[in-house]
Amino acid sequence: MAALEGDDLLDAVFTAADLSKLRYMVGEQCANCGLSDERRRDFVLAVHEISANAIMYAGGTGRLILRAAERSLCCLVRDSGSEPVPGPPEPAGADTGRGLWLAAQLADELTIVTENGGTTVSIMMRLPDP
Amino acid sequence: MDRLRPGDHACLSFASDEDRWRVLRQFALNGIGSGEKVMCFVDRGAAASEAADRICGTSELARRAQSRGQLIVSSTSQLREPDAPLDTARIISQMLDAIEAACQDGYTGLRGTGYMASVLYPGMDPSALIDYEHAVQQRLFPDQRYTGLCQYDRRWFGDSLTATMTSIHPVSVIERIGALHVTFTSSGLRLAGECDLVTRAELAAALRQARERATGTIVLDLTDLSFLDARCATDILGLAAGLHDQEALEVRCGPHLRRILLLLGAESIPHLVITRDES
Repeated sequence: MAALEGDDLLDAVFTAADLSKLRYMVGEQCANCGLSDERRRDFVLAVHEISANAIMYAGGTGRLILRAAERSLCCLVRDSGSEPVPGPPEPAGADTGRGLWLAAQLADELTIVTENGGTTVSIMMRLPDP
Repeated sequence: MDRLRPGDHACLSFASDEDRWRVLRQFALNGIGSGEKVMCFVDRGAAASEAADRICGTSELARRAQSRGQLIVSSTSQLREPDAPLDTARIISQMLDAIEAACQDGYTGLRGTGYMASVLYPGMDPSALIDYEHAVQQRLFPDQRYTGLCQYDRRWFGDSLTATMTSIHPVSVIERIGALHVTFTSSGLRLAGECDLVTRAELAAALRQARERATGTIVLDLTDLSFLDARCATDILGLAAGLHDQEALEVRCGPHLRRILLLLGAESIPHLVITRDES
């Protein structure tokens, strides 16, 4: 893990094998920030979906940064912009956009920025009033 | 782990320290969150302060609970002399006092966990351990003010004895995150653990097998599934979408998974019904 900056709670490069541990670590930070059980599960699922996207479609690896602001929790996943790792073909009719779509339904905000050949997907969840 | 309730007597079988501390961390956090007092008894080899660090991890919630006395991490020598024969009556008496004290102090109950290798002594017969667990089951759990998690380290107890001890506990806890456990039942399938892109192939194989065996309604029990991602949820919906008349898929799950399945279009699938987790 890189040295954390400012209000960064997590900063990790990940592959598929790390997803489960990453979900656990993000979930723990959500609990620390006071997110309700339901919202925590929503956020962890959304983080998973944007992370899985980086693995499936952009080189098999990504970098996740979890950041706390005063009233919100933000997760950014940056991919390397490489070609997708060849893997088993998706079954016919599979909706490959489902994950990002679901993440957008679950998080309070989702933004996608593509620059310098890579893509950053960010999701934000508002925290409850103290 | 999330489904552990007061009155549950659970067993954790493990063979990795990382798995053990992660499960204990979750056990402690869940207890703190529900207003229970949490006592973790650690083996003689691990200093209590080091164990407390492993259990608290980066959790502010756990540290605050520890400083106000809601989370206690102490050595098993508090309960019994090392290497002395097992004095079940004495341990039970001390635990009953601790449960009473926790409730008097305003907690909703007591949650305790112990490293069972500390219970071993030279020349001990395994039947003494079985008797101990039966006695504890009868005395500490019926009034539902205590939740217990017995930790069995397979490196100490071996696979065979650990399997025996797991089988006599009413509840067992899965130690490895990221794993998917599949159990076939007379009416369908039960899934526990996590369904994501890593375990998706196992899910697909299990769904295929359930479909082949089915006559009528397939019951898919997801009540012990702690994670389901969009792809795997879509696979489950796909199973239902492919059913014919006279066939149906009943998915049993809690409210969160139900909401995810509905978001992904469950309502538009004719042969699918989602029922609530009964527990």
